[in-house]
Amino acid sequence: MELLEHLQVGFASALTWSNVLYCFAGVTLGTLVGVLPGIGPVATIAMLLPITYGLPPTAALIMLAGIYYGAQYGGSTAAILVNLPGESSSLVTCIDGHAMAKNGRAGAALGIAAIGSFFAGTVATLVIAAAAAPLAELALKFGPAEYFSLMVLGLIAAVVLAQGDILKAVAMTLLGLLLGLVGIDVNSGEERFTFGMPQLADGISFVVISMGIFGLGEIIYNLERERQKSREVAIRGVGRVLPTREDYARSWKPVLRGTTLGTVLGVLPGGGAMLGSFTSYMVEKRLARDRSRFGKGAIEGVAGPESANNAGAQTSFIPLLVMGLPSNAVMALMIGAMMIHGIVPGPQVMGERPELFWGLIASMWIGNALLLLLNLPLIGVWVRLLAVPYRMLYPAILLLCCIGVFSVNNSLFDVLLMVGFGFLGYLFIRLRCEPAPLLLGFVLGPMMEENLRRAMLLSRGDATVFFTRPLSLTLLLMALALVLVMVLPSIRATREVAFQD
Amino acid sequence: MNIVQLFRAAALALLAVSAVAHGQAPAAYPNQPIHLLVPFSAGGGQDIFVRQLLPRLQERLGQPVVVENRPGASGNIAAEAVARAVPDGYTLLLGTAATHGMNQALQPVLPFDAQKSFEPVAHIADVPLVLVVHPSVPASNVDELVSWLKADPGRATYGSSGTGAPLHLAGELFKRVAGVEALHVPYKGSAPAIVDLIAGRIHFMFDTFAATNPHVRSGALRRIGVAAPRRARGDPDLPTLGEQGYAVDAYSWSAVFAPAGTPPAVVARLADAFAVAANDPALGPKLGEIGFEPVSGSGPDELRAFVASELKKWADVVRAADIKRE
Repeated sequence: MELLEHLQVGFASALTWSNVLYCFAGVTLGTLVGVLPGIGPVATIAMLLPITYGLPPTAALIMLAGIYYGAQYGGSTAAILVNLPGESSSLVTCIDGHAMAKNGRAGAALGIAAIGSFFAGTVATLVIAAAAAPLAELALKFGPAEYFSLMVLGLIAAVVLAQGDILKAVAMTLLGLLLGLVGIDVNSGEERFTFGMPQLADGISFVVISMGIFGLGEIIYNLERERQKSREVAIRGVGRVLPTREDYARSWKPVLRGTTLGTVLGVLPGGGAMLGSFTSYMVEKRLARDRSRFGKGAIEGVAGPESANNAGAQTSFIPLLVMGLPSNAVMALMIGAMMIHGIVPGPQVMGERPELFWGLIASMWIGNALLLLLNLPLIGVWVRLLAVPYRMLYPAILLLCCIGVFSVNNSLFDVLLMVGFGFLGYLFIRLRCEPAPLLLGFVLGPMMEENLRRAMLLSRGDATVFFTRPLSLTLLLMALALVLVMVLPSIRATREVAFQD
Repeated sequence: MNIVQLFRAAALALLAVSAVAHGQAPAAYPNQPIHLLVPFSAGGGQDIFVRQLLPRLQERLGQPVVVENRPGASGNIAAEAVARAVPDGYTLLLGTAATHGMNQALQPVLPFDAQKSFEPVAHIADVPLVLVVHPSVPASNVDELVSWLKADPGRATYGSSGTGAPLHLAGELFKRVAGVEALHVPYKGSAPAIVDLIAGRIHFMFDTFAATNPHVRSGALRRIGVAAPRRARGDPDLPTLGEQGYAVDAYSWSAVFAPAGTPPAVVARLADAFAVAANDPALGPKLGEIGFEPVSGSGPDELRAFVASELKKWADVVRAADIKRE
């Protein structure tokens, strides 16, 4: 068994005392920066890069990788406890995770997130070890036409995320698309909706919008309710810390499905982890017997997406390890780290430096195990945090949001912009408009436009590329099917109403 | 606590300790940490490059140099901040071919003037661009690429990291010098463009050694020339485009600028420190790996002349290719 041999080399390299220690340091730091809203793994890894110059390359990469997937664990904690998605991949966790926290079930949500993530991490690690090369080929097959079709599917699915009114969800998605247009257009180089402000030339940062709309908006709303003396934010008793037997029974299938989706979609460069998590949410909501529970604290809505985003975080290493292609900003930093140590990322690393290649992969499993050990006992601490009176908690959240947003670009403008979005977020709560579709439109819209125009450029204006390429056609047909599934019941319902009259 | 702030606090603490220890006179420059604004996110090529210099700079200047990442608007945000800073030598800019060459040509209105708003300090490194092709393109040198392009002017496409970015202007310069046609396909950054080049969806592009090294070694891409006046340390066997008969000098570079009005003595002190740090032989191999070629002997006067020539070069390219960015 070649795989076993490889894993043996890997574990021999990853299980030295010093490497386990660096792995632990990485995942601990990752958890911390993940919990702090806004301060993401990109900034952390960039700042730590110079410190790793002195380390042996294997240790350095193990630690940096640990920060990345550790931050995925931490990110879900912030999303569940205080409704702050620091990264787009923990966006959907907010929906049901925070609802669970409000119902006094924060512990169960955090527990299932940690356990689901561990399972997903284990599976994804095995997948990397066994099938990295063919999966990397899949990533290369995804051209602009395929990405466009995938985004179409994603945007249509975004509407499914909404709880209430479909019209409101569509409107929010469109508003998100418009916000995503702000900045320099990739294709023409023209500025759009920047009003001459250079700070807007690169568009609005995801962190600014999500902190504003989710974080600040909710704080304003909570404070208003506080004044009306009817507030009950998160504490309806701390409740049982770990998930119950019923929780596990509900969750194991979503975890399996989320892991599969996350593993496959994570390989795709650009937004893989996020696509995985919200595709999983969509699937769980579709498959659920009682859809009305979603948005009110359905544990499946946490278990699936959390497994998916962690699996995706692991498999996003595949293009990097196999071909030297970065699939996101963190992977680009990892390439920088490898080059500083004189390692040229690419297919030859596997053969030339097996102890590094397989050591890094084995360390991911060790890191996931360490994260589980670290996070399960921490759940008690986090849950107790919710018992802190809100008048003391919210200034701290506000401060962290400001620091987090400022740290992304060292820009005060971004902080002010976040405040603006805070008021918008409050307005949305009052109008009962769900913010999740807006953020998805914001992330997916620009990618969709970019790939549409690129595909058209490459085909020299021939729009049939979207139908003649089999992968693209499949994705578009899936999107069509989704529309039909959504529309048919309402047509039937209207007809029934009509017949009743 | 933000890590930048943590570093800054640590740097200040160090400063306090060293000031007490040495009893330094407050008037001598520098007597407080120097801020170097880098117009890119942490972890980009220029950021990694400049962070390598920090320990040597501190040794030479006796004060820490703190990197502040101020990305955005093709470097204009950082450049504007430095242009407006107090000219006391404590706020510096890491300028590039974008901030002091291309942007001026692309944008009718800029909040700063590449020549009038700054004191040139030192030109410390060049970042040569190499011409890479997909292996399916039947060309192992530039001549063969040009005749392949000329055989069917409508077929070829080339990628770049965005309209008006250095990789795009390098492509346009090449098209102009060689008299060939190719459709420009912009991407958001160079990494996704490289993916499409490897997959064969686009045919050629200009990019750095750092970005192309892995794929050239694995055979996924073929490198056919370096667009610089001299051969690069990154691959001394690779002939320049000039040697192959196509005078395409398209490289980015790193140079330090201070706000206009900074005292000449301060500028001279900084020029010496940056030149020494960038040319430290111990750094050579590392810099080569990330695609940076240290430049020596280019102080304030040389840099001033160099910026003037860069502004002219890119203005010509932009005019000839009719590229606009509002």
